[in-house]
Amino acid sequence: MTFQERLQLGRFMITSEITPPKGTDVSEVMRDTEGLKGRVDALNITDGKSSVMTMTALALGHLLKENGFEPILNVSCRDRNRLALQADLLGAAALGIRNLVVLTGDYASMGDHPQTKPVFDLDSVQLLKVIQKLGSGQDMAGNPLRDEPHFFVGATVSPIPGTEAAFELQLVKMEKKMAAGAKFFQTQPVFDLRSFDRFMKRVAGFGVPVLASVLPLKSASMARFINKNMPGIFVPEPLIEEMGSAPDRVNASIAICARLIHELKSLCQGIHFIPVGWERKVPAILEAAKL
Amino acid sequence: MKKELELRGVSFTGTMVMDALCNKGLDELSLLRQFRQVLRSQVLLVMSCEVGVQALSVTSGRMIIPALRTLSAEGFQGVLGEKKPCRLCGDCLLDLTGGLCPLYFCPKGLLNGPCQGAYQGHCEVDPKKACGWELIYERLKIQGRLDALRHYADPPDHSELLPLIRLRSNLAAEIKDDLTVSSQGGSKR
Repeated sequence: MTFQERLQLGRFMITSEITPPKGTDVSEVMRDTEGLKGRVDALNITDGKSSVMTMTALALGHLLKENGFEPILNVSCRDRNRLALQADLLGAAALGIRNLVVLTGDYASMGDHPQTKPVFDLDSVQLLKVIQKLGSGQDMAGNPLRDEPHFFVGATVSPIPGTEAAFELQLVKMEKKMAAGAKFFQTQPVFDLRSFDRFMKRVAGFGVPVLASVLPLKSASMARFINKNMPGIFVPEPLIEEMGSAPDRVNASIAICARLIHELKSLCQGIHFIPVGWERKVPAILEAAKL
Repeated sequence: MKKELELRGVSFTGTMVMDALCNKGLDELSLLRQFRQVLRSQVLLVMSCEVGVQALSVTSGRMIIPALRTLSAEGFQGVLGEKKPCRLCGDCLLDLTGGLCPLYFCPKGLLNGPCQGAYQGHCEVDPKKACGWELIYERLKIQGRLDALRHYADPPDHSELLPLIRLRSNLAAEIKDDLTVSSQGGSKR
């Protein structure tokens, strides 16, 4: 059964993201993901995450597919104009990649090539519409395609973005994304379950599956760094204290994740791991969460 | 245009010609002079470049609909020109964004709502500045027009962004003329 079929059957979904290497050697990625085989429903491949230049997601997605995974290609609007985006999407379809997650992309100044020209020719909603049109057998300009690509497309949403205005804007944009063909959503990392519950209550009527992101904390200082620097992510103080006072940080982190996942199971239809280097600890987290 | 709109059921409270629309002081004077027809109106239809549209949006506080598509701002630039910049995209959305241009206030130029990078209302690109879309939200909220956020904005038509190309070809033509004249002059000598 495919990711799409399982999701649409209402199963509780598990996805995890992997960032392509900076270089041509994929052996580490293959080792990192080995333990996830059969345990995750699909793997997201990031597309220039944090504006750091890495191997194209398309190539790694293809290699992971050959290695037995179902890939979800992240497609960012930052680096490619409408020609390049469509060209890569046709290529992805030809390689048998069926799932996409469309996103705006971090601004170029955040990454390791701040001098680059940010593209943003299309925004995420416009790109979703283009993908719909490709599926109907036409490119964005209306030219016919020789065999059209059929993708299962998701998008992202920030459930706890900080201000009231940002919250309402996220909901409006989420509806626009759905109208443009988004069939599921992956969120920013969730720690604050009460705020996430508020978000889920607001989107209950949308009838779209939401996969909440889970980010394993590596230390108390990482949690403080997140609170200070990362928009839309808030780690409540008790969790930071728990990490700070734990004799074994890895075990504490796994226990916190397992607890979050246990609570999230009753709030949404799946989880999405953002392991940031701790890919090999995901199986232990899943075991602790009895998944 | 007036007749066509009246046929569609839009009534006009009046028309006015305003001098130097991008001068806020002059705008206020003109609005005061004809405040009755302004007060009776629900919408101001503005036939000026987008700098004028943005200036009048601020001074009048009313819903503004730009009637023109600004592709060029050659010539005299008004006093508000620097504060209310127009990207000359030829696809004005100011009536749907509370008079604030997302191409200017959002560094990513997103037309369908914000990204997820704002932190407590601050833009991820420049944390000293407010998220442009949150400003648009607050402005539309005051105007009671939050529904405008639901509008889907088509991708920008970059082939319309001609001023630079046109300016360049005009300049190139002028330079070529100059070169021809001076080379002819040279051969005579």
